Amino acid sequence: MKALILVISFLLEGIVSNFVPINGFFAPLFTLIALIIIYPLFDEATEYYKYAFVTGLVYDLFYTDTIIFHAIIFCFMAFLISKLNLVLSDNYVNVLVIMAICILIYRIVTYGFLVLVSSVSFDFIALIMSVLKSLIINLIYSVIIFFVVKRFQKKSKYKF
Amino acid sequence: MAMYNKRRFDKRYLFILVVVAIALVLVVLAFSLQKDRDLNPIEKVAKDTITVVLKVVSAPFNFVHDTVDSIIEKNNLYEKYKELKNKEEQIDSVVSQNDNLRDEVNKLKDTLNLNTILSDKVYMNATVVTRNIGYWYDEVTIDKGSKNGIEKGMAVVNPKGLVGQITKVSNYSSTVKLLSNENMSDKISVKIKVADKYVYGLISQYDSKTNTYTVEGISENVDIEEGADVVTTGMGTIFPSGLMVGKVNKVTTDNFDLSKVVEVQASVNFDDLDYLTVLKRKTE
Repeated sequence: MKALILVISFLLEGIVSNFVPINGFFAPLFTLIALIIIYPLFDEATEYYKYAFVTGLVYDLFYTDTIIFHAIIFCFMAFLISKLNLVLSDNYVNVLVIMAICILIYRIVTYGFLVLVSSVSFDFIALIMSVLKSLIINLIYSVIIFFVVKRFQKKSKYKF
Repeated sequence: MAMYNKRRFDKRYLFILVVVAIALVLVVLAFSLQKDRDLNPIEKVAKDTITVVLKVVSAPFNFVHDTVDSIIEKNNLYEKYKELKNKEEQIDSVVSQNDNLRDEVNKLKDTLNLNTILSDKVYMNATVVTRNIGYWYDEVTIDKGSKNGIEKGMAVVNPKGLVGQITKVSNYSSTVKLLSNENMSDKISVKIKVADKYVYGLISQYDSKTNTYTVEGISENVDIEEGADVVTTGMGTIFPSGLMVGKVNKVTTDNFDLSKVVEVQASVNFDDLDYLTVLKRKTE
C-alpha cells in the first residue's frame, strides 16, 4: 500500500510534468506529497527513513541525474515530517500545514545547494515564485490522495 | 549521569553526521551537475527503463490530450484552410527558387572544393517524455538515445527555432538542457540581419519572465531594426549556422555608450515543448 502510493505518485509526477507548462504556474511535487501522506501508516521510524532514501535515490536516477542528492534531501524531509507530526495531529488541515512547510523548506534547501555549487544564480523572487507555483497543484493532489488513503485505512480496519 | 553522557554523545554524533552529509551533498551535486559528465551504466539503465515505463503509462493521457486538441482545432478549420490555400499558391515559386539556390550552392561548393558548409545538418525527430522535473534544472528528456545516433552536444530545435542542446545520453533516451537555463544560453554566437548584411553578437542572458535573450557585444555602428531575424552563426559553438533564435525586440546601448545591447524575443515558447528535432552538424 505505502509502496504503491509512492510508485503511483512518482510516475504521475513524470506524466503530469508533460501536460503542464515548463515554467508555468503548476510544478508537481507528488513524490514529496506522497511521503507526507503515508507517514501515519508506518510503525517504525527506520522503515520510513528507508522508504524516503530509496525513493530519493530512484528520483535521482530516473529524473534529475544528481546521483544521491535527492536521497539525502528526502531523508531530511522525512526527519522534518516526523518532527512535525509530533506537534500536529493526523487530520486534513494539519496535513495542509505540513505540506506547505515541507514545500517551502524543500525549495529553499534545494535552491540553496544549487546556488552554493553555482549552478544557478541567486534570485529571491524566483525562489518565492517556485514555492507559490508548487502549492496549488500539490494541494489538489494531496486532497485526493489523503482521502484515498483514509478510505483504505477504514476498509482494512487499520491493519497495514 | 550515564544517561546524560550518552545523550551528549548522541548530539555530537548527529552534528558530525549532518556536517558530513552537507559536505557530501555539495561534492556530489557539484560533480553531477557538470555539463559534460557521462552517465554511468546504472544511470543509463535507469533512464532507459523510466523512458519506456513513462511512455507506456502516459499513452492513455496522451490520447485524451490529442483528442481534445483535435476537437479544438476543428473549430476554426475553415479559416485555417483559407490561410493554407493562400500559402500554397506561393509555395511553388518558393520551391523552385529553393531548388535553384541549392543547385547553385552545390556548384559553388564543387568549385571551391568544399565538402561541407556550416549550415549542413542531419535531422532526427523525438518526443518529449518528461519536462523539467526538479524545477531548477531546465531540462527535458526525449525518447531517442545513442542507439538512435544521438550524441552529446547536438543542437535541439522545434519548428519555431533553437531549443537547447543534448547534455546527457543513454541508450534509448537523452537529456536536453534548454536555452532558458542561464548556464546554457551563455555565450552563444548569433548574427542579426540588417538590410542585406549581418552584424554579430553573443547571447549573454535569458529572462524567463519576458522570454527574451540579451545580445551583447555589437560594436558596429548600424541601425538595427525591430523585428529583424536573429540566427545562430555556426561559429565557436556546436550549433549549426542559420538556426532561428528570435526576433529583435528593443535596441539600447550599454553603460559606456560603446556597444549596442539588443533584447531579442525568443521564437520558441519554452512552456510548450512536445516534439523536438535533434540536429547533427555534418562534419565530413
